[in-house]
Parts: sequence; C-alpha cells; structure tokens
Amino acid sequence: MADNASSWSELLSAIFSNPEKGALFLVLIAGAWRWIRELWREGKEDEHHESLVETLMEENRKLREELREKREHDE
Amino acid sequence: MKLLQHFREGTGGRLRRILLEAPWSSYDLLSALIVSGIGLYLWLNAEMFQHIGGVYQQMADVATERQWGILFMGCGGFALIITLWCVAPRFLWRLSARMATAFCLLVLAGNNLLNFPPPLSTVTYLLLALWSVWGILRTQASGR
Repeated sequence: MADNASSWSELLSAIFSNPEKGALFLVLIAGAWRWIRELWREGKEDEHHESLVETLMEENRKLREELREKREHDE
Repeated sequence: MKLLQHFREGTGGRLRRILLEAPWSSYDLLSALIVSGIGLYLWLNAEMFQHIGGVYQQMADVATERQWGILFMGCGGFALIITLWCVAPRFLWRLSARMATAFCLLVLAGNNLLNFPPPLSTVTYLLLALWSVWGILRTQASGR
C-alpha cells in the first residue's frame, strides 16, 4: 500500500515538475474524456433513433391491420 | 436564498450561457494566433531563454528556442487552419486542434508556475490555458 502511494506520488511529482509532461497529461485526459462522452452520446442517440423507428413501424402495422379488418367487415 | 436566485437569474445565468452556449470560435482564433505568434517569436529569437533571467529554464531544459518555436507554430498553425476552415471540420479534427493550443498554453503556464515568485504573465497564461481546457471539454460533434 505504501509502495503504491509512493509510486503515485513519484508519478505526480514527475508530471508537475515538468510543465510539458503535466500539460500533455492534462490535455490527453480532457480530450479522451470529451471523445468518450461524445461516443457515448452518439450511441445513445442511435439507440433512441432505433426505438423511435421501431415504434413507428409497429404503429404502422397496427393501423394497416385495423384498416384491413375494417375493409373485410364492410365487404 | 433570494440573493442566490438573483445571481442565478442574473450574472450567474449570463456566465453560464457564455461558458456553455456562446460560440467559442473567437477564442479559438485568438488562442491559435497567440500560440503561432509565440512560436514565431521563439523561432526568430534563438537566444531568448538566456536573455530573460531563468524564467524559461524549465522549457530550456527540454528543448531549444527553435524547437519550441517550430512546435508552437505547428500547433498554432494547425488550430488556425481548423478554425478558419470554411465548413465545420470533423469532431476529432476540432478536438485535436483545441488540444494542441491547450498543450502550448499549459506548457507556458506550468513553466511560469514553477518559478518563485511566478512572473506577472502567469495570470494571463494560466487563464488562457484554463479557457483552452474548457474549450476541449465543451467541444461537440454538432456545431463549432
């Protein structure tokens, strides 16, 4: 546990004592986080789009069935 | 409670709209020009780090003025092209352009912060760097 903490503190001190490493670390974390968020959002939107299309198709099928029944009844 | 509500509806709301909804392109253009300008300055002044008493020692330990200048001009130029492109470039291009300028500004802010006392320009670089990081975080697939 103590070794783990010291290795983390070594990593952090290396990052903060070198401005270019700290900058690269921060920029990569922010960029990766934003990219993952965007991918997740796109996935969600696709899911919603699919469920909307499925609902519309189901609605359409029901209406067609109703119409067919009505025609058969009228004949 | 009422004061907090007033703040949310007034200045707080305005600040929120600026940070979240206002177009960020003017900041992208400004930061790209700043980074490119600093890059050009470093490239032209090959002994700049020596002349300014140790403030840029951390940067000087990593690379020469010319090398930093080329890196800054590359990052700034890339961001400038992406910002001025007539149609919205793809999300990853826009994200990487913002990451490039943020990296350069964070290097300058970090370099200044490692001095004691930090030089006056630390405030400017730090705010520009924080705004750049915020620019990365508010990049969206839709819009610019």
